[in-house]
Amino acid sequence: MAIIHAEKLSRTFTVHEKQPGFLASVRSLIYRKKIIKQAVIEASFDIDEGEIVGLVGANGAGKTTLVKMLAGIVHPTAGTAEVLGHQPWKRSNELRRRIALIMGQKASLWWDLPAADCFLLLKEIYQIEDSDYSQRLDYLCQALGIGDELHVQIRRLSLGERMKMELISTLLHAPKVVFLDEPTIGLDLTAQRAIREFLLQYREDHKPAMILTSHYMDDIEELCERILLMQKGRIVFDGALEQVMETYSPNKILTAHFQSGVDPERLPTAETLPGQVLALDADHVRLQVPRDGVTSSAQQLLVSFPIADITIEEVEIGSVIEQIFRDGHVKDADR
Amino acid sequence: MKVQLFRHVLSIEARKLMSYRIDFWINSVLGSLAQFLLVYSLWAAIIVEPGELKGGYSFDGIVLYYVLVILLGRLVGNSFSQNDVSQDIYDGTLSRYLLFPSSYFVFKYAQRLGATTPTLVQIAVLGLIYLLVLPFPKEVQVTLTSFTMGVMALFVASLLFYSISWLLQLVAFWADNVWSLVVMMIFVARLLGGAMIPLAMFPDWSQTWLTVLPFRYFYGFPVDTIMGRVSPAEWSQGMAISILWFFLTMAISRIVWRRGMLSYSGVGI
Repeated sequence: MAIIHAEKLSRTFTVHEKQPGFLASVRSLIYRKKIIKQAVIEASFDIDEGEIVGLVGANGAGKTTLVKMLAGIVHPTAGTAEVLGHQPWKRSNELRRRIALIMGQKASLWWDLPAADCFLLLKEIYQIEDSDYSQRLDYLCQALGIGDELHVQIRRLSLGERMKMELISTLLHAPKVVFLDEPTIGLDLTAQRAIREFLLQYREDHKPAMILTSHYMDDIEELCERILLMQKGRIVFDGALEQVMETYSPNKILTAHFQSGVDPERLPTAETLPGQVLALDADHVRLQVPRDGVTSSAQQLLVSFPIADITIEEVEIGSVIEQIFRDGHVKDADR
Repeated sequence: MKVQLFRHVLSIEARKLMSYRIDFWINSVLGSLAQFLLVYSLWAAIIVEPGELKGGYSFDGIVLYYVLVILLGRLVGNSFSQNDVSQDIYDGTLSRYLLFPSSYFVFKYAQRLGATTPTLVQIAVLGLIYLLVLPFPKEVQVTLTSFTMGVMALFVASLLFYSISWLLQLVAFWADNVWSLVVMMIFVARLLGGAMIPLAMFPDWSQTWLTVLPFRYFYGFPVDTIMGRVSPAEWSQGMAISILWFFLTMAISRIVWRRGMLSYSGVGI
């Protein structure tokens, strides 16, 4: 049975339009134009134990609102959802003891306190037994390489250290469902990698269901086997990461290396090649060809030119998703 | 919320505030001293001849009244509690508390009580200065009974102030900035609660209104009780009215909170 189940989950927000300028500000004291914004539209999906699902989409696609509804922070305007058998927005204590949300863009720890004090407070909030608390804190500190930093005020820690503390604080009560909203945002590459490795290890050890939103493709590629692709509030794709390629990337990359010592006149020109040329020199040619025309293009190359070897690759998955972020949809991949 | 957690939150908040030593001494202690000196000079200028004032206060009595209002008033409603809830709603910090398996209302109250704990140190310091420097009014008899009744009235005053401030701050679910609303409430509370002028000095026709409104129970009532100016019958009536206001405010807050949560969007994350 699914740990997270969402069915036609929708959320609409009313916001007030505010025009720039002094006169517009005066006018807004009397009249403000309302704008209805559909943040999430009929989102339906299931997530099982131990799954890490990437929630992917451009800014404003509705990812964070969806996560906030599943975490019980925001009420939906329509549809329903169950997390561990509970309606999240009813916020039962039983459910809240078993879920966690990391908000990469918002510090959730108390700035004026050292992390050790924050964790002790969380121990009381979640009513964690002394032995469990020590054991989990040791495990988390060790896995994330935390030592003396525990006794430094949160506001004096570096961004990376702070994010590690956030992770510890979120996982101290051993949640069965973890929502990770941009957990690596703003971190350097080393810290990003450390957090990814930690999350994989944590998944291995505890088998929680995780939903990850991130704009870093490395996060999605390394952590998620499955992704939910959101576009303008709707889930437009739900499936394995590889399937994204088939659905959203109409092209493949064909690379052919020429035989050495060949007469330059026998080499192709851009006009004579069966596909869009990405690179061409005396050693090799790199083409972007339609997915369903790869075989014929390869055949054409082998017949027409002195080819030593040929490889066919997918367009890099990160590039495809990045293009979805940028354009809202994949046009013709031009990489 | 478990008592242990309540105590922990309270203790953390107190320690946090006391870790800011400069703010603790300058803002809190010197702030109270400056406030007292202002009131003292004003009344010294008003009262040119010795004698009893309206409401039965002597000059020394009125000085003691203001010392108690300034010091104990900090226990009832300190600056911490004036916009913390609305700020949480406004900047989305509320989301963090909504995830916790504990009541946000009680959590904030524990924090507020924790924030008032350092005030006890200030009360001790400034109270000692008062006793050493100024004459204690002869007509005032602080007994164990009046002191106990006063402390109980202070506790209810703190709860009532918090509940009304909480209700007003919930408006932040719909309005971006409710600071002005809270400031207005504090001004009205101080004026009609006896923090600016003792309520006994208000016109006779207003006394009934002042008794049934909640503001009197923030400042004037607990202070007058400690000073032995409130009879047990008046005290019982006052406590009943303030508790009634507390429950009424809580009932309205419950409805407003539910409606507010429907429109809460958790901005900032």
